[in-house]
Amino acid sequence: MRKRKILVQTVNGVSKSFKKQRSLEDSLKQFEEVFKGDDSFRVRHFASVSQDKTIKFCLLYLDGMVDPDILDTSIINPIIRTDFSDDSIPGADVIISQVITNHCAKKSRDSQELMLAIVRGDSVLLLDNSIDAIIVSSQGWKSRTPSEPEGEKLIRGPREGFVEPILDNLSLIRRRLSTPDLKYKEMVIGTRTKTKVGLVYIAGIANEQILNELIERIKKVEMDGIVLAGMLAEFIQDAPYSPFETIGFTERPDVAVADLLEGRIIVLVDGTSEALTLPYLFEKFFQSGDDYSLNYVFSTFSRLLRILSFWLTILAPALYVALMTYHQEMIPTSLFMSILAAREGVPFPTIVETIGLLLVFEILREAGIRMNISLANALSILGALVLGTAAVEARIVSATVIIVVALTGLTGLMTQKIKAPIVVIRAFLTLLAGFMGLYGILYGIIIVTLHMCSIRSFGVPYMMEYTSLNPEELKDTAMRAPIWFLKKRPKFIAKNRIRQTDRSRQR
Amino acid sequence: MKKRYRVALLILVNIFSAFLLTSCWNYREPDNLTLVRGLAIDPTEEGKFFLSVETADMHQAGPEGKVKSTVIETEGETMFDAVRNAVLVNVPRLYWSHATVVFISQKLAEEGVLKITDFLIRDAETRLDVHPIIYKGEEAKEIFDVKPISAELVSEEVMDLLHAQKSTSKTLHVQMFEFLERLANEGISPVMPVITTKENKGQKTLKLSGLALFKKDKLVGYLDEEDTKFYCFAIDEVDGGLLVVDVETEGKQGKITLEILNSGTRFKAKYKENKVTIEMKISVRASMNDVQIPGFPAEEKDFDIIMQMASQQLKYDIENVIKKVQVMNTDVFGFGSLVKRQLPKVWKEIGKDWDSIFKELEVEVSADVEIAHTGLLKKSIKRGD
Repeated sequence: MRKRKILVQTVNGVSKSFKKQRSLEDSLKQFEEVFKGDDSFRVRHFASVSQDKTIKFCLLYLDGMVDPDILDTSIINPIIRTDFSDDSIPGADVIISQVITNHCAKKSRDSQELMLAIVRGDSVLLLDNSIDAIIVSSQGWKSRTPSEPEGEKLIRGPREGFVEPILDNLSLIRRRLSTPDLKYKEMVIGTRTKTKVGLVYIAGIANEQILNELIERIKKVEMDGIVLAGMLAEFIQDAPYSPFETIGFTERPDVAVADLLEGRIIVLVDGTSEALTLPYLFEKFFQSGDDYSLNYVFSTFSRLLRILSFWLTILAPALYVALMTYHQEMIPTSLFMSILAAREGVPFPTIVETIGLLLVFEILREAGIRMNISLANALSILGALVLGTAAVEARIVSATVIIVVALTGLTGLMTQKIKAPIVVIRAFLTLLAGFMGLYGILYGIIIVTLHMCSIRSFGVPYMMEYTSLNPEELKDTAMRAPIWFLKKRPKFIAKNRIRQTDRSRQR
Repeated sequence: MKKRYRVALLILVNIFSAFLLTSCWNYREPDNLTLVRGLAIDPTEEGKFFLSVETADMHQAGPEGKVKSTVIETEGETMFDAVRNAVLVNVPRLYWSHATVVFISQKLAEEGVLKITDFLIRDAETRLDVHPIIYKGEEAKEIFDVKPISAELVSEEVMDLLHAQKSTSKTLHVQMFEFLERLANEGISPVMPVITTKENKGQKTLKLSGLALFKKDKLVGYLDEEDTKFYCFAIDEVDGGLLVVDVETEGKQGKITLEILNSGTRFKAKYKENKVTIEMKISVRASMNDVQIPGFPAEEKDFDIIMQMASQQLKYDIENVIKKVQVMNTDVFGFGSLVKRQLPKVWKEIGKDWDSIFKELEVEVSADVEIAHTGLLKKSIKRGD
C-alpha cells in the first residue's frame, strides 16, 4: 500500500481536556486564544442573580452560524430567570436537565469537542468553577430549499433534489423510506474541515462485506479537507486510474432510495448536494429514473438508444477515419463520391481534420458548460456560424466531418454520465483508426472491453449484468422488463435478493 | 511496481506487434485516388492493350456534388502495365474497388479474354463483382462517347440498364465471379451480356443486345434479345419478362401478351442405350396483360386454348435456341455439368467427348404456361355496334 503522510493536526495550544475545576475567566481565556483573529467569535456574559449569590455564565458562539432565537429563548432566558438560591453551585447536569429548554444539550470537558462544536454552529455554555461545559445545539443558517436538480431532469417523477446540509438530505431519503432498518452511520473526515460523511443503507438488504470494506476505506482517508463528494469518491473507488467511474452519484433522493432498495449503499457528504451510490456497475450509465415511470416498451427503446449512442459517440469519428483512409472499398460508391465531392479542396489529411474538429467541439462544449447564460448565445452563434458554415465554405474542413463530429457530439450529450471514459476511448480509437484502420478500431475495442471486464466496484464485477447469461439478471440491463418481472435484486450487491412476491401481479 | 511495468511492457509489445501484423496499413488519403467506375479494353495493332478508364471526377463537383465523367486513355504491353502507365497521364492513382463494368471489345474477346481477366482477378483492389460486358462495335472506347440519358457516367448507366433487365429477361446479369465459375467448370461455357450503341433521336445511346457466347475464353457467337429470353428459360434464370403469343382459333387471330409472374425449370439427364438425353420441364405462371383480339377470350375454354398455344410456342422457341447454340457448339446451357451432377458415372466415360455429344444432344423440352389472372379486365372490351 501507499504510505500516507499523516496530517493530523490539533487545535493550536490547547491541552486535551480540562484537568481541574477553574474559574470562568480561565476557561474563557483558553477559547479566546484559539479564536483570536476571528471577529465573528462572540462571548456573551450573563448571570443568574438570586438573593444570596450571583452565578456567572458565559455563552460562546460564532456569529452567523447560530440562530439567535434559540440562544435567547432556550439558554439565556431560562438561566437568567432561574433562581439558583437553593443549590450551592449548580452542576452541568442540573442545568441541562432543569434549566436549558433546548432539545439537544450535552456536557463535555473535551476542549477539542467544544471547539468543534463552536465551529459547527453550536454554542458552548461555560460555567463558573466547573470542570464541564455544555454544548447546546443552536445551528441556524440559511440553506436553500430542495429544488429539481438541473443535471438530472426527469419527465415524470418528484421535483425534489438533494441540498447541501447532510441531515436535510438524510431526511429527504428517510421520508421516502419509513423503516427503522434504514441506518445512518456518520463518520468525520478531513483533519481541518471535519466534514461529516454519512453512510446510508438498509440493514438486512445491504451486503455487510461491502459496508465494512467501505468503512475501512473511508477510515483510511487522511486529508486536510474533503470539500466535495467527488473528492471522497476518488479516495475510495476501485480502479482509481481508470477513466471509468466505479462510484455513481445522484442528486435525486428518489434515485437514491431506489438504489438503497437494490441493496446499494449511499454516501452523503456534508456540503455537497449529491449522494454517492455504490457499488456502481456499468449498466447504471444507461439507466434513468424515467425508465421506471414510463412504459416498459418505451423505456427499453430509450435504453437501446442510449447504448447505440454510446457506440456511435465512441466509434463515429474512428469509423469515418478508418473507412476514408484505409477501406474506401467499404463505402457505398455513391456515398463515397459525395464525400469526395465535399472533401474537394480541403487541405488537411482526414485524420488531422477529424481530430482537430473533435477538439474544437470539446472546446466549445467546455466553454459553454460553465458559461453565463447571456454569453451562451454568443457561443452558439460562434460555434454554429464559424464552424458550421464558414469553415465549410472556406474549405478548411469538409461538411462530412462536421456531420460526423456533430453526430458524435449529439450522441455524446445523450450519454453525459459516461463523459470521461467516452472522451478517452474516442480519442484512443480515432488515433488507432488513423494508424491501422478498422483493424486498429477492433484492437482498441478489445483493449477497452478487457479493461472494463477487469474492473470491479467494491468486489462486484463492473460488467456483471452485461456479461451474464442468466435471464434473471438481464431483465434490467439493455431492456427494462415490466416492474413485476424484477423479482430479484442484483447478485453480490444485495444480501437478501427477493424483492417481491409472485403475488404482486396476479389476476 | 514491478508487476505494473511488466503489464505495461506487455501492452506495448502487443501494440507494436499489432502494427506489424496488419495486412492493410497503407494510409491513403481519398483525395489522392481516382475513382474508377468503368473500363473499356481494346487491342492495338501492335498487340498491346489500349485502356479507356472512365473515372468519376469530383474535382469540379462543388457543393452540389455533381459528378463528371472523365476518361483516361492509356496503353501498355499487359493489362497491369497499361494501368500503371495511367500515372503518366494522371497523377492520383487509379482506385479500382468501385469499378463496376468492364467493356471488352469484340475483337479482343474473339482472341480470348483470359489475358484481361487475370489482372482483374489477381489485383487486390479490383473486385470479382464487376460486370464484364462485350462491346459489339468497332472499338470499345467508343462507348464512352455516348451521352448517357439518366446517369452522369456511362458505367453507371450500363449498370442501371443491366439491373433493370429483370423485367424483360432479355439479357443475363453476369458478374466476373460467375463468368469465372463457368469458365473453370467442366460441361458449361460462359456468357457475357452484349452492349452496342444506337441512334436515339439523333444522339448515340446505349443498348443492351442479348448475349455473347464463349467457348473456353473465346467469343464464338451471339444470341439476340429474343433468343436470350428463351435461353434464360433454358437455364432457369427468368424472373420476369413477356411472352407474346400468336393466337389463331376459330377464325379469330391476333397477339396476346402474357407477363411472366414466375417461372421454374426442372432438368433431368437420362442415359439410355448409350445415349444421353436431357429432359427440361418449364412451368410458367403468367398474367394476361395485353389482348389484341376483340371479344376473345370469351369463355373458360378460351383460356385453355391460349395456355396451350403459349406452351407450344414457348417449347418451340426454346428448342430453336438450343439448336442455334448447338450449331455454335458451345454448351452455355450447362447440360454437361448437369450430366456430371446427375450421372457422374456416365460423365466419367463420355466427359471428354462432350463437345461432339453436345452437338447432337437431344433435349426434350416441355413447357406449361398457366394464366393466373387477367389484369383489371375480366373480358375483353366489346365493340358496340
